[in-house]
Amino acid sequence: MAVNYSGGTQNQQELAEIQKELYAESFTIREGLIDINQGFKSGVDVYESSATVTASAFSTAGVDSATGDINLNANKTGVPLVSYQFEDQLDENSLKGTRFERSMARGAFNINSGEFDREVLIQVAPAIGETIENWIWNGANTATKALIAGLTPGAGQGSISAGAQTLVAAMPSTYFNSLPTTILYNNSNAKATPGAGLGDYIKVPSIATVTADTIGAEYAKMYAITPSKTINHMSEPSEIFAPLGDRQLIKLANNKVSATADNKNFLIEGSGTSEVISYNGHKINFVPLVGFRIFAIPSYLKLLADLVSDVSTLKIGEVANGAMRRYIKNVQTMATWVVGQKYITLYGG
Amino acid sequence: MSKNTKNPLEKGVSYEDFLSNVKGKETVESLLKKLKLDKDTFEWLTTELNNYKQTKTK
Repeated sequence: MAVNYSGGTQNQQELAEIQKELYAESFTIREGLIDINQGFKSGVDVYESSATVTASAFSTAGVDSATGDINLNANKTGVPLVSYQFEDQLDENSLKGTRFERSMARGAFNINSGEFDREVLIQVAPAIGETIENWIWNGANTATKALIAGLTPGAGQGSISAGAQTLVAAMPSTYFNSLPTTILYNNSNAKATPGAGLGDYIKVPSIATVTADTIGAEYAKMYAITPSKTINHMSEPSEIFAPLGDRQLIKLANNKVSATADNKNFLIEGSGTSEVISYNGHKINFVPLVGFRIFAIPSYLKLLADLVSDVSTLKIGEVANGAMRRYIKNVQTMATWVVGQKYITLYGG
Repeated sequence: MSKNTKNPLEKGVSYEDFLSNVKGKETVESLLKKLKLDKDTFEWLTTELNNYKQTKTK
């Protein structure tokens, strides 16, 4: 008996799992790699202070302010925070005729797919998280980009390098300045020359392209020029903040097989989520830096926010006037800041 | 004290100051060679000065 059928064929099964994009994790905020402060709506005053003392010859006379030499210094810098948003409208009518149609409730008004929400819409929060993680370490607003481009470059300490200017020019334009950008240019009143201009960071001279062959030598240059005070600050040990790719270069360097590759410059302990990599006893944090590396006491690097959990807060609701669309919106307020600038080493600066 | 603009590593000497010495038979290379720099510093300064010149001509 012949079987006669027309109308085309269709797959009768589907792979249940919908493969989701891989998003970089927001380690900086989740793990508190730097000093994260919240509760600021539009701006915050940051204070820095210091004392200098000089001894004088013993005397039984009264304390004399004219010959005494104890100087107490305090200063304040106002740091503005920037608000920005991610928003759009969702029209799920285009999902009709797909697997997502099965999870739409009955009734022509109902075109929102529960499965689409669970499997696809859920990715908006990690995508925003990845964006903010990138912005903290790589990005500059257009005004700061122009100001950094206008600095006079030179090789000595106290001058920006031409390489740093090139790196900043290539940064994505963002709503708040990344940490390297803030280190390079800020208006702190705690600097040797207070006010807007080049930061007081320590530059690493004579740097070369970082590869598996050179990474040990390049980290040595960064370590050697960092002030001993920073290296020996045991109450809060200084840490290294390095590009994500350095993890691979470090392992390639450490595991190199050759007659001369007998130096393991980096200590690698544990694996997976518990892996800790350090250099000369200083933990290395792998973050989305591009070209720059930072060696600093972590709390000297600051992320200032209205509410840090805003990063993963999404408001979703029906659009007004009977529209069959939903809105989705995320709003955040942030800025980066640095203190104790003269103790911050910026490789690439 | 006046700056030695022929040494770009000296604090306060900009690349513009240093390049003002490039004239006649003096080139970037000849000026840097006189400083007897190590290989890394020589290569770094060469790259820096190239970056500077490229940025300036944009």
